[in-house]
Amino acid sequence: MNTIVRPQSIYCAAWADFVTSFTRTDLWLWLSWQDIRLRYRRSVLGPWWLTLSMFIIVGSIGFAFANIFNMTLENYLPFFAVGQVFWLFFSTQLNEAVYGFLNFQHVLQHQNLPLPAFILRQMMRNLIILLHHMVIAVLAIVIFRDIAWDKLIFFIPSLLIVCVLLYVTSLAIAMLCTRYRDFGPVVTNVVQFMFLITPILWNPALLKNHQWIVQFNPMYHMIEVLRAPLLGYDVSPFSYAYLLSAIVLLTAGVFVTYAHFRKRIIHWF
Amino acid sequence: MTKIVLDNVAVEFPIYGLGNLSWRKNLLHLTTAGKLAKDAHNIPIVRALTDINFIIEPGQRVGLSGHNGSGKSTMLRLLAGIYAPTRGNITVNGKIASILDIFLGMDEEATGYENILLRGVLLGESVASMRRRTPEIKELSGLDNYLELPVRTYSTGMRVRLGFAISMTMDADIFLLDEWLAVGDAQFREKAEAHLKSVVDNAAVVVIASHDETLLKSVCNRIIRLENGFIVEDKAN
Repeated sequence: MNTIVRPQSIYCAAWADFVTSFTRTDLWLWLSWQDIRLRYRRSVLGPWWLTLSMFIIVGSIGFAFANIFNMTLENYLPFFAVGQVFWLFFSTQLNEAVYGFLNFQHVLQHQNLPLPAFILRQMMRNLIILLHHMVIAVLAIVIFRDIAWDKLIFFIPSLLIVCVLLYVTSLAIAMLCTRYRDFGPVVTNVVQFMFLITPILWNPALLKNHQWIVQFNPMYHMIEVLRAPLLGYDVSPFSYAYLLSAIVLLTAGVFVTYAHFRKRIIHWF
Repeated sequence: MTKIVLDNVAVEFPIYGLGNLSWRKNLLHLTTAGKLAKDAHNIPIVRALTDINFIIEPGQRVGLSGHNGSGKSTMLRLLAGIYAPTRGNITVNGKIASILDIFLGMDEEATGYENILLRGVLLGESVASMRRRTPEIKELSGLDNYLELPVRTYSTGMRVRLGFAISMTMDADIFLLDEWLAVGDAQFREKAEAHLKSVVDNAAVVVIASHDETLLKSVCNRIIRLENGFIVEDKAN
């Protein structure tokens, strides 16, 4: 519903798509809120059902694995609760990114709307669910630990960095999986595998001299920059450096790819 | 100034997932009137529009006519900016309202009032501006207190009236309409056509795709006939 004047450079057009996507907040902020409201309209607990099931998982598995690893509940439960809450956010977002464009096929074929806004809408939805689950993480910390306020301020830049990285990754996955349908199951399987090699259930210290397993793992750094401020220890500067370089590289790659294919994505449906 | 210029435009799109083309090629010839070809990577492509040249000036109400698969909808999507031309240039000056599906954005669980906002946002308006238009839409749709109920309780006719009423309150220089006037009962169609005429009179440019010749003749002052993705006739009405 805007003025189009062609031709223009593909990079200008791609940039304009991102600017419109971010500035037209009704397209993602408002719509994601409506998505959640409408999905749970006829349920009393609504999204709190997810939180309830998460609460049971964290409580039971937390108790069991504290014993398996021979750790105190005070030490283990907040560690696992925080890790699990963020893991669910990451994994849901990455798995849903497979359908980032495909779910909106009908809309995209009938209205000229900027594609990046649809990934924003999807991610906003998952952020709202994350906010519900945060209650569990906060409870676990308040009950078993003390909040270290001087460390906690790092949570905000950490969350921002992680969201930016998740957003560009989701865009990449959405483009790839719309064009090549075989990558959908690949993403699901990789995410599943990553859960096992990322320290959520187990403490990275257990790896002893095989630390490279976590140091190469982007998911470890994503979890770690969020977990450290909440649990009251310092975020390693290496984690920030790792994530920021990943953002720079991925953003450049995704932007160039998007600029070249933005008007062809519609034909990939 | 509102204007649409198409200069030697072609739209071709690839069809993925077809695999071996040999026997399917014949099948596709039956279903799409567009011509089939292969691109450099051996992926079959459909030539949906070829050699399109025209200029639409303010005051023109253009009717796109043609058989199923002749390229009418592709043309509307091209003008709406959903498709980009594979060859040639297209220039569209003016605010566009593309109403290609009158149910777009509507949600079964949401009430009529909420659907006004939901559909409006996807049509390119802001939530705030849709709230302002709500009384007007309520009036035009004639749904009155039904707007407080979820759309899943509506009959097909009621949905059409709501979708139509929302669409007609868009303000734009260029209206793109696909053939959805055929839906709804006779009484609604009469009311819709009357209202459509007033919208058409206020907008600078209207492009309507339909295979209903009588409708096009009564609303449009220029008719472009498409066949197999080519313009075969372009005349004043």
